[in-house]
Amino acid sequence: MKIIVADDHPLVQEALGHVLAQSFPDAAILPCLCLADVTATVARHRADIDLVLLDLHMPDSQGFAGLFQMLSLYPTVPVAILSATEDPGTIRRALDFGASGYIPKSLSMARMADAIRGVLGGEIWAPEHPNDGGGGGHDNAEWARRFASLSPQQMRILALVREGRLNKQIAGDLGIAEQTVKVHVSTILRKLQVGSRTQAAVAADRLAIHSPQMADRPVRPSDA
Amino acid sequence: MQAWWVLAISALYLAMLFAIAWWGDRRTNRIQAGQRRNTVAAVLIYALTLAIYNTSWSFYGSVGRAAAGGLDFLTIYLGPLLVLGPGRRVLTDAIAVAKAQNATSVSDFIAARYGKSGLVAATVTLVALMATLPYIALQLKAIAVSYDVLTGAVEGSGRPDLPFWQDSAFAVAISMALFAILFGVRHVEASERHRGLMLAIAFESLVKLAAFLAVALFIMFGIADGPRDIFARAAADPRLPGLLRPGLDWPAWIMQTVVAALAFLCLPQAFHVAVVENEGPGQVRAARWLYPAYLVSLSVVMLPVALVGLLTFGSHAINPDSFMIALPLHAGSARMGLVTFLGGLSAATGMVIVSAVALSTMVCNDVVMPLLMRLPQFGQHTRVGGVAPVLLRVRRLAVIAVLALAYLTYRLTDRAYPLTLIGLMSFVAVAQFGPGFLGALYWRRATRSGVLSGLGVGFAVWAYTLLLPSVGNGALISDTLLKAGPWGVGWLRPMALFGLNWKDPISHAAFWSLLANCLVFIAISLMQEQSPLERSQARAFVVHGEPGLSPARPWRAVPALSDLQALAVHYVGRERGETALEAYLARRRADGPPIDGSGLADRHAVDFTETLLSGAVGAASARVIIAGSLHGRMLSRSDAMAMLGEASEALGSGRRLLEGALESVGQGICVMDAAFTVAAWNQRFLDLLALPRDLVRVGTPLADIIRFNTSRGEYGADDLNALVVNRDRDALAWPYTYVRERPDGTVLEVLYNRMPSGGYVSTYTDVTERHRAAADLKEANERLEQRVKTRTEDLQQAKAQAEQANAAKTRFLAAASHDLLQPLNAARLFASALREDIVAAAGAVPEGHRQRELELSANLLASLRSTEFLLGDLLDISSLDSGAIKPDERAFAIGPILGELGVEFAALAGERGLTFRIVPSGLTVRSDPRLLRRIVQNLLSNAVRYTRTGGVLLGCRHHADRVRISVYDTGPGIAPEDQAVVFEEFRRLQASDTGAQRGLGLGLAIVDRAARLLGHRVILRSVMGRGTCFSVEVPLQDAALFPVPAPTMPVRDMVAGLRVLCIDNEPAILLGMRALMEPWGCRVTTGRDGKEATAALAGTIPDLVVADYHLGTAEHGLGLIARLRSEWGRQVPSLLLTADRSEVVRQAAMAAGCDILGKPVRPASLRRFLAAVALGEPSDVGGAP
Repeated sequence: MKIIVADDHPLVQEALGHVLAQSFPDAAILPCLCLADVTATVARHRADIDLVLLDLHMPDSQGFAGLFQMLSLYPTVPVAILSATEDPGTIRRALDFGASGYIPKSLSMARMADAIRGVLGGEIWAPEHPNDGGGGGHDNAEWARRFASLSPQQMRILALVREGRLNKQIAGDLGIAEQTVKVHVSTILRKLQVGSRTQAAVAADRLAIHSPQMADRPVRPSDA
Repeated sequence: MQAWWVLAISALYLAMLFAIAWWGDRRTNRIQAGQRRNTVAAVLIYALTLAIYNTSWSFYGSVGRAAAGGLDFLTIYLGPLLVLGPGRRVLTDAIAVAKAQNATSVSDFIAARYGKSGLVAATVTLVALMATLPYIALQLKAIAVSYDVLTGAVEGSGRPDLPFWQDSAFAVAISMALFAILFGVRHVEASERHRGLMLAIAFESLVKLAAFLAVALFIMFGIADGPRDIFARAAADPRLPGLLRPGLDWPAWIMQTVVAALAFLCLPQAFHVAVVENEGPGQVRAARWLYPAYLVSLSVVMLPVALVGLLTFGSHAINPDSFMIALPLHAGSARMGLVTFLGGLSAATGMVIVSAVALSTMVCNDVVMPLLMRLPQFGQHTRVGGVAPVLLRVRRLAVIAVLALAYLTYRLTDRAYPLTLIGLMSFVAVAQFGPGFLGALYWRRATRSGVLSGLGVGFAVWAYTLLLPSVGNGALISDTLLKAGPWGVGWLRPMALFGLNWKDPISHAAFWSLLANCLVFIAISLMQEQSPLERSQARAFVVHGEPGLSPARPWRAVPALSDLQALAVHYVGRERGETALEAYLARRRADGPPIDGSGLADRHAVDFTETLLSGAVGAASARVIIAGSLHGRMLSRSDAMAMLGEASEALGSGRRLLEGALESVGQGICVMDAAFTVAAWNQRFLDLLALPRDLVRVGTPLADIIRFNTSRGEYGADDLNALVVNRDRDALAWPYTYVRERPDGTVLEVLYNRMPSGGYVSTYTDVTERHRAAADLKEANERLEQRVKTRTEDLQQAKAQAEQANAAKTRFLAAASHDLLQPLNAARLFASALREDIVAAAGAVPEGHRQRELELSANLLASLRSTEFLLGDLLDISSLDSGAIKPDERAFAIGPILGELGVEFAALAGERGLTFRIVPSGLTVRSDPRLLRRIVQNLLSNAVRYTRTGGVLLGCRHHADRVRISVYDTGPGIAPEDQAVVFEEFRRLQASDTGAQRGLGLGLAIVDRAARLLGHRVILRSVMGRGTCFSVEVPLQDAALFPVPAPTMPVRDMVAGLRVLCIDNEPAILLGMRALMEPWGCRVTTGRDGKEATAALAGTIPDLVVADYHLGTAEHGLGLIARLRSEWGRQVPSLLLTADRSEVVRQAAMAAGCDILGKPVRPASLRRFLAAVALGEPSDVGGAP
C-alpha cells in the first residue's frame, strides 16, 4: 500500500507519517512537499498509488487547483483533502469538487486512522455537519464540471490570471510562447463559459480558500 | 590761566544769568498781565535784546574779517541799520500782523499768510533748522576755541578731539538747554513774552558790549599807543595793503548787506526778539536809535584791534579770529583775556538760548504736532490732561534735540573754517525766506505754491553754490566738479554760475539763489489762483490792522460758545483758555457785534478761538484743529431730518440753521427740488462722492452731476438702472434705498425720500466698513466650512485606516492561528503515536513505569488539545470582530439542534456526576443555525464546567414572538457586580477557579459577539449559591407561514446515478463490483463478455465501462471496449482492470484512450474514477503534459 502525504509543513508531514505508520504498518508513506512532487511521485509509481492526502496550502498550488489537476492527470488516484481548515463551506466544496474525503488535521489519531480506512474502502469521509443545508451544492457541482474540463496547464494559467498577470508575464512564468498562452486563455474562457478575463479570475476565486468561517467545534471533552 | 579758574568764573556767570532770568520772571508775575509797558527799562531791554544779532561771531569773527578784508566786516552791520532806519516800516508792519495773527515764529508768520498752510510752515521750519544749526555750532566752536586759547591749550585743529564730557562746548550746550527749558519753554502759548529770559538776554548784550569795549580799549591803549599810532604803523607796514581803503567790491557789499538785512528779519532768534517779544511800537521807535548806537560802538574799535593783531602776530602766525583773546594774553594780561572770554561766552549763550527756544517752538508747532494730531491715539491720549502738557513736553524735547544736533554739527565741522563764513552761509540760507516774507506783507497776489517753489529753488541753489563747495574739500565730491562744472559744463560751475565769476562766493551764491527764488516765486504766484483762505489772509496781512474775518468756512456747523471754550482749555490750559475767552466776550459786549443770545458762536468767536490756538500750536495746526473739531460732530439721521424740518419752517432767517444742521450730519445729504436741481447739500456729500466743489451749487441740474459722474466712470450698470428708476417717482416705494459701490472701493448706502414740496432728499452713508465686515464674515464662514470638510476627510481617512488596521489584525490573527495550529496538530499526533507506543510496549517495561508514562502522555494530549481549542476560539473571535462572518439566517426547527447538543452534553455531564435534562421543543425559530448552535453549545459548556453538584437544564420557552432558549445550572452563581464583565474576553471569575476545571474565558465572549451579530439578546440571571441561568432570545418563526424545509439530504453523492457497465469473466468479481458500487448509488450492469453485456444493457448506453483485461476469450478487454464504443458511436469513458502491470498493457490502454487500474480493485481508486467521469469527460487521459 502506498500513501502519499502532501504537506509543505515538515513537522506535520513527520507526525502524519508516524500516525500512518502506526495505523497501517504495511503501508509505504511517500512524503511530498509540493504538488509537482506529488505528480512526479505518482508518475514514478505509474499511478499505482492507494491514496493521496493533499493539503490545501501548497507552495505551487493554493486551494482546490491541485485537486482538479490530479483529477485530470490521474483520474484513478484517490485524493483526500487533509487540512487544518474546518470551515464547513470548504469541506462542502471539497466534496463537490470530487475529493475522496476530507480529513481535518485536528482529528485524534484513532479517528484519523478510521477516516483513512474509510476512504480506502471507498467511503467519502468527512466530518459530520448536522443541519448543514448544503446550500450551493448544485452550483458547486456545475463549477466542478467546468473546472474539471481544464487541463493541468490551463489550471496553472487560470491561477496566474487570477493573480492579475498579463499574457506576456504568464508566458515568462511558465516558459511557453505568448501565443500559446493566448490560445489557452481563450480556451479557459470557453470552458468556464465566461466572457472575460476578469470573470475568469472571479470564477477562479471558487478554487481558493479565503475568509475564515466559523467552524463547528466539537464539544470539548472532559479535560480529566 | 588755570582751566578750573576759567570754568569757575564761567559757572558763576551762568549762575548769575539764571538768577537774573528767575528774578525777571518773578517780577513779571507780579505785574498785571496784559499791561503794556512802555517804560524806559522795557525800551532799553528791547533794544538790547536786538543785539542778539551780535553773536560771538561779531565778538571774534568780525575782528578776523576786518583783519582779512578791512572794512568788509561792516556789511553785516549795515543790513540791520538799513532795516531799523529806512526799512523800519517793514519791521513795524511785521510786528502788527504777527500780533494780529498771534504768530509764534517766523515759520508760523509766513505760513499764516499763505493760507495757514502746514506744508509752508514745515518747509520754513526745516530750512531754518538747517541754516541755524551750523550757526549754533559756530557759537559752541567760538567758546571752545577761546577757552583753548585762554587755558593755553594748543590752538587749532592739532588739538586732539576730547571726549564730549571733557569738552567745554558740551558743558555749554547742556547748560544752554537747561536754561532754554527753564526760562524759554515755560508756557504753552509761545507768543507770550518771556520777560525773565529777555532780561537775561539784555544783560548778556550789556556784558558783551562792555567786555568788548574794555578789551578793545586795553588793546588800543594798553598794548598800542592809541589809534593814531596804530593807523600810522599800519600805513607804514607793507604787509597790510589796502586794509585801510574802503573795498571796491561793490557787488559783494550790496549782496552782503541785503543778506544781512533779510537775516536780521528772518533768523528765527532775531524774529523772536524783534517781533514776537515786542511789546509795542514805542520799543521799535527807541530801538531805531539805540541799536545802531550799539553797533557803531562795536564797529569803531573793530579795525584798530585787527590792525594791532596783524602788527603783533602777522597775518598767518595765529588765527585772526582769536585776536581779541590772544592779544591780551600776549601782553601778559590774563585778566583781560578772561574778560574777553566772558564777553564771547555771553554773546554765544544769548544767541544759543533764543535760537533754541525759537526753533523748538517751530519744530514743535509746525512739524511734530501736525504729525501727532494725525495719530488716532492722540485724541484719546490728551482727553484727560489736555494738549498743553504734551506741547510743553514736545518743546522741551525739541530744545534738547536742537542743541544735541548743533553740538553734533560742531563736532563734525572743520575747526579751521572761518567763523564769518559759517555765519554768512547761514545768513544766505535764511535770506531765502526774504521773498516770501516781504511778499507776505506787500504783495497780495503771492500764493502758497509760489512761496513754496521759490523757497525750494532758492534753497537748492544755495546748496549747490555754497554748501556743495564748502563740503567739497572733503572726499564727498570731486574737485573737478568744482573746477570744471558738472559733466564739464563750465557755466554750471558752482562757484561761477553762468560765468559770473565773483571773488566772494557768498555774494555769488546770495545773488543767484535770491534771484532764482524771486523769479520762481513771482512766476508761480502769477500763474496760480489763490484759495479763499489765502485771499482773506493776504488781505489781513497787506491791509493790516484788525484781522479780517476769515472767509466763509467750508464747514457750516454752528458750534456753541461753550464748545469753543472747551477747545481753548484743551489746548492752552484751563486758566489761560478761560480767561482769554472771558476777556474776549467782555470786549464783545462792550463794543463789537452783538453776541447771539442762545449761546451759539458766530464767526468772530470762532476766529478768535483759532487765533488763540495759533498762539499755542501755530496757525496751520490751529486751523486744522478748529476745522476738525467742528467736523467731528455727528448727528443721527433722524436728528438731521428733524432739524431739516425745523429749518424749513424758519426758512430765510433759518437758512444758517439749516446749513448748520446739514453740516452736522454724519451722512452726505443732497436735496433736489421738484425741478431736479440742487437745493441744498453738505460738505460730507461732496466728500463721499468726491465731487468738485464748484460743480455743486444751488440750481445745478441733477443731469450735470450725472453727466460728470458718467464721464469719470462712476456708475456701474446697476447704478444706472437705479438712477433711471429713480426718476419714475410714482413707481417707487418711498423711501427708496440702494447700495452703491464707488470705483475707489467705498460702499455707499443711498436713501431717497420724498419732500413734501416735491423733489427729494438723498442721504449717503459710508457703509464700507460694514460691507467689509460682512465680506470678512463670509470669508471666515467659508474658511470654517473648508476646515470642517478637511477635518471630515481626515476623520474618514482615520476611520479607513482604523478599519484597515483592524482587517490587517484579523488577517494576521487568522494566518497566525492557522500556522500555529499546524505544528500543534503535528504535536498532538506525535503525542498520540507516543501513547500508542507505550500501550504497545506492555510487558517490555515495568508496569508502574508504563502507567506513569501513560498518564504523562494523556496529560500531554489534553494540554495540546486545550491549546488547539484556545486557538480555535481566538480565530472565531477575530472572525466575528472583523465582520468576516456573515450570518445565514433562515427558519428552522430548534428541536433537532437542542437534541444533538443534549446527547453530547448528557455524556459529559454524566462523567462529572451531574444530572442533565433537556425539555423537548417543537418550535421553529429564525436564526443562523450554526451560530445559534455555537451559542447554546458554549452556554452548556460553561454550565457543565462550573457546576460541581446538581445538574444542568436546557429548555426553551415561547414568549410572544420570541423564543427564549435557557441553560440553567446549580453552580455557584455570578455576583451582580461581575455580571456585566463575564462577557469580556479572558474574563474568568475567581469563584470558578476553586474547581479543577479551568475555562479559557472565551466562551461567553463568543456568545456575546455571535448574539450581537444575529441581533439576539442574551439574558443572565443568577443567584449566588443557587445557580445561574443564561438565555438567548431568538425570533419565533410562524411555522404555518414559513414551512420548514425538509431536513436536508445528506451529501448528494456525485457518482450516484452513474450507469456503470462491468465486464469480467469471473461472476464473483462482478458480484463484488455490484456490491461495491450500488451503495454509492450507481446503476450497475454486468456481463461476462460482450454479448452478455449488450444483452444486459438492453439498448442503453452506459456512462462508463469497467472491463477486465483478461476475459478468458480471444478478445481482451481493450478490444471489447473498442468494439462497444464503435457500436455505441460514442467514446464512452472506460477503465481497464488488469493484474498485468506490464508497460505493454499500459501503452495499449493509453493508445485506446482507456484508464487503467491494477487488480485487485481498490475501492477508493474506483470511486475516484467514477467521480472523474461524473465531472465530465476526462479530457486528456493518459496524456501527461
